[in-house]
Amino acid sequence: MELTTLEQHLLLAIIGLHPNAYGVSIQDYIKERTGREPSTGSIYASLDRLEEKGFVKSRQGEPTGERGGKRKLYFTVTASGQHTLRASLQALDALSHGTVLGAAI
Amino acid sequence: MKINTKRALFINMGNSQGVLIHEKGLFRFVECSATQQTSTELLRWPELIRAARALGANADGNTESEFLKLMFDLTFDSTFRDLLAEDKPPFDGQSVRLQNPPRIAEFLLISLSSLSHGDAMVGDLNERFADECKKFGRQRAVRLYWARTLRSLRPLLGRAVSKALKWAAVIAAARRLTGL
Repeated sequence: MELTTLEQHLLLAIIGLHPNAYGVSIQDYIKERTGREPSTGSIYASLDRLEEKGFVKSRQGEPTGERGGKRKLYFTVTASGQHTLRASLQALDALSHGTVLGAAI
Repeated sequence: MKINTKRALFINMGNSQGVLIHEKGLFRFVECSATQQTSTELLRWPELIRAARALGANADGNTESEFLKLMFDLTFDSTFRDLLAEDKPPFDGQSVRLQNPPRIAEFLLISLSSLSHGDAMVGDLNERFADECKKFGRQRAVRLYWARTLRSLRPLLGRAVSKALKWAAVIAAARRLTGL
């Protein structure tokens, strides 16, 4: 199963932030490391797709005052998601291997 | 009514003004319009919420008064809740304008996403909004909220359309199989 670049970033962010991966923390994590901030809508649209494929699962947190009483939604990567992510990253590695870019990395 | 400004919070609700008074651990709310003042008794905070409903119903024949909306908003306002937790005269004659994010933007986001995700997404934007109100002020925070909302609409719309197309394909396949 192919993963888009954003989906790869999201899965890596969720793993890196575990167990506190929710919308705002994921967005900040990706922005700090890539220099680009994905929109909230694109994050949730991609997470919805990933959840449908069974690569992530979500659980609701507590509502807070600063969120207007809305609950956080925490995400974790499933075993299937980790497997697919690993395969995707290995494919990238295999593609870059033997190229000038691969040597530089 | 004479109001001791040390224990009063003046609140601008847009169309009217109110004063929230803190006395000996209890609260009284006075709503001031051009022609009259209406006031609750001195009550504990949860009871004041209930009184807000009755005040709204008596004043306008309408249960969703500005007063009631104010009370709900204050209940979820983190600064106000911190003041309640400290249990001391919090107001000292301060004046505050409620920092509510744009409701139309919230509605757009929720209408284009699933129930749990929509709520969480709006919560994320509200969290950013609360932070930016403190850092940059309300006006800039509202502009940033709208900018984030508009950036989010296209991917959400794309996702909603692809889900709808998938269901349309499933229904079409089912019809072909069953001959309907």
